[in-house]
Amino acid sequence: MVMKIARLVNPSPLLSGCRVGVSYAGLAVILSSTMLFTGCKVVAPKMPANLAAPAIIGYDKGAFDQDVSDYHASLKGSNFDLAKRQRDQIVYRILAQIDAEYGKFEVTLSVNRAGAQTAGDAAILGLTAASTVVGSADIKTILSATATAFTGTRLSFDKNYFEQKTTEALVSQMRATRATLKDQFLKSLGSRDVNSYPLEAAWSDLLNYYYAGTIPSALTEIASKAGGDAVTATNNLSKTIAKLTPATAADAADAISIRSEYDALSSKIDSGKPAEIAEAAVMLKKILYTANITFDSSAPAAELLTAMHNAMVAADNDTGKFTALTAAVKSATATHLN
Amino acid sequence: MAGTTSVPTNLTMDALAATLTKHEQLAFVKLTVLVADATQQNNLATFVSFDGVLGAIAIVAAGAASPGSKMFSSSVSVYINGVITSVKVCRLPVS
Repeated sequence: MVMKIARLVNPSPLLSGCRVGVSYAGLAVILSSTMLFTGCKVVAPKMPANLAAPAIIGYDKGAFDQDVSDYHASLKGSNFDLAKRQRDQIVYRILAQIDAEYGKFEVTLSVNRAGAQTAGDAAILGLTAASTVVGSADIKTILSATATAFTGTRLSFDKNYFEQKTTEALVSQMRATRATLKDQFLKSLGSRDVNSYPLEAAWSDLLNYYYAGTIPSALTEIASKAGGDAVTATNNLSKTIAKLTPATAADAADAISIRSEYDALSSKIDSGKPAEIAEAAVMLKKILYTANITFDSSAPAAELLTAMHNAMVAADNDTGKFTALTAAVKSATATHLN
Repeated sequence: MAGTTSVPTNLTMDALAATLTKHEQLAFVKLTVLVADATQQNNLATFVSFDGVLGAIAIVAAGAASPGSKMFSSSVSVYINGVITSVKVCRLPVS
């Protein structure tokens, strides 16, 4: 490679001479030394064989499928204590695998990134130094431009893949998020039975735990923290929106009435009988109009039914809309009966 | 809507049942999991999309006679009036 570069620096034998020959030697030394320094990257002791080949947590697909099958059989047989033990065993084995892989990933990330950065530095230094020892102005320009391109590419790589965060910051964030999730996870496994925390729910938490040990997750967490107040405000808002509105027995009865009317109208539309579809359309228009919901009066019955569906979903956490829809359904059904 | 959402912790058993029922009926979903989340001091309810007809939900103390059919195979722990309580969650027949 050194010879190839040297040939590129001085492609014409006519330009060879003592001064240029010295330049070749200088260039070769510079580039060789940069390559030598980028080759040394041992950062961790050799792992004991038994730990490196984790036979204790080896979990092939056949064994996993069998364990899941046994878990479901225990659930079916209402043997919940056994199912809990089976759930825990499955989850702990996967958890151990995630931890083992994460450990390797963390070391590899540090080594590879540092190696890539060192190689990039060395290449830039080499190119810059080389540009000072060659004689031709054109070659100087080419080498300088190449060094600039290297610098730009390295910055771009850092920005696009790591958002210019240091490896330490990323690893620290991944460790923190993983520790938090693991704490919650182990508490859930220890305190919840298979009904409140089935294998499927634990699986979802396992996935979250796995993704917490990835670069995109760490970058997102770091960015979220930078958001500070905005994040807190968003979380509060989400909690408010997500929280179900407390209801009374009367509210529940009204909700059932609305849903019953919806199901009756849906059945009429599904019947395919023109008379019933027309009747359903008239009723739906009454309900939507009385509830002050905008709709297209020329729309087919199925579209009007969709409008009622949407109105019901909107009324779920909006007391005003719920009251209006309840009154509209009661009014429409009373008129219909009269 | 489907997914896991929080439910107030300071409700009576009847009010909790009414809240869950109202959500099921209006949001076209069915309750599949109800649990007290001790880490968040919150009740969590998980719903899946459901278009069929559902009866109302009833919540009674663990050990009490079950109205309708029991929804979960064993008692669940939820916050009732702010205190973690073991309850049974039942589905009343469609009238």
